[in-house]
Amino acid sequence: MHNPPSRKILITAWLTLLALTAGTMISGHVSGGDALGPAWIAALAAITLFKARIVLRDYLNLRAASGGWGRGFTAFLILLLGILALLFIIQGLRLLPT
Amino acid sequence: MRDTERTGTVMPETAGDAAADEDRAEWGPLAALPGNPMMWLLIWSELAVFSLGLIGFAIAWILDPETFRQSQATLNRLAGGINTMVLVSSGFCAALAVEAQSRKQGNAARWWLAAASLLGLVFLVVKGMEYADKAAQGIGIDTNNFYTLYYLLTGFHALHVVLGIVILIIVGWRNSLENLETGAAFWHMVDLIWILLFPVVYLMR
Repeated sequence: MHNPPSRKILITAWLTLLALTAGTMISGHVSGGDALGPAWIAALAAITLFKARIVLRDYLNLRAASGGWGRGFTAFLILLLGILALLFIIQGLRLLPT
Repeated sequence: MRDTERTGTVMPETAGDAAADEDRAEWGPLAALPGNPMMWLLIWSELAVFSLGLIGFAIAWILDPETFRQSQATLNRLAGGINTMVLVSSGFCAALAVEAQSRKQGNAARWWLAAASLLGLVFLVVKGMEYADKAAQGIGIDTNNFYTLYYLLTGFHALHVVLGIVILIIVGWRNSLENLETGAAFWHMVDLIWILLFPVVYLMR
């Protein structure tokens, strides 16, 4: 059995996730229709990475897991979000013929 | 320092718990993860499936940017953001349920699970309203490639939300700490996938 995170840790995680979600909506120009530039796409990917790490570390309690599981998940997320951000930046800059 | 603080694990209190810990040792590296190791295999496989889906979505966007840009503009981005807040709040309730159960407060744990399930239902209602709005505009899964991928990704995720609510109800009934950890882990996986899905499907352009 693993020792779950304390209430204080969970409340901090929840409030941080809510704030980061607001950050996601701002970075993604929720009320606008214009294309995002590379900087906003990179910001979206970075905020998403932070949010995913909080869910893994605090909600899923990976902080209590040994054996590099946390680092493994983080490496996977960096790879995934890096690929996704790159693909959207490429299409935004129209670097490929369509 | 207590053992639990140093190692992050709770010492088994009964012979049954000790036997369960021995069974876990057979899982090798997966035994280091909270909850049932089988759930973590599911979490990795679901993450892999949705990751491939999202990469496919981004590649499809490159192949037909105008259709995807115009179609994405019809999505309700605010509803997607609100649903993200609903789901992370639901995950918070599920995590509090595990925390309460670890302190032997079974009734409190059940109330937190009920709150998590209720917020899951709110998520489904908001998603249903989005789908109904699209249907009213004559938009369906076969309208174009954007909507095909949109409905596949968000619909498959919504099915996981439904299944997650059922799992939360079951672990609320059979509420051992390991059951709660396992059920909550599934719910957090659903949360994690939406956190990845929302910016890619609704916002990146």
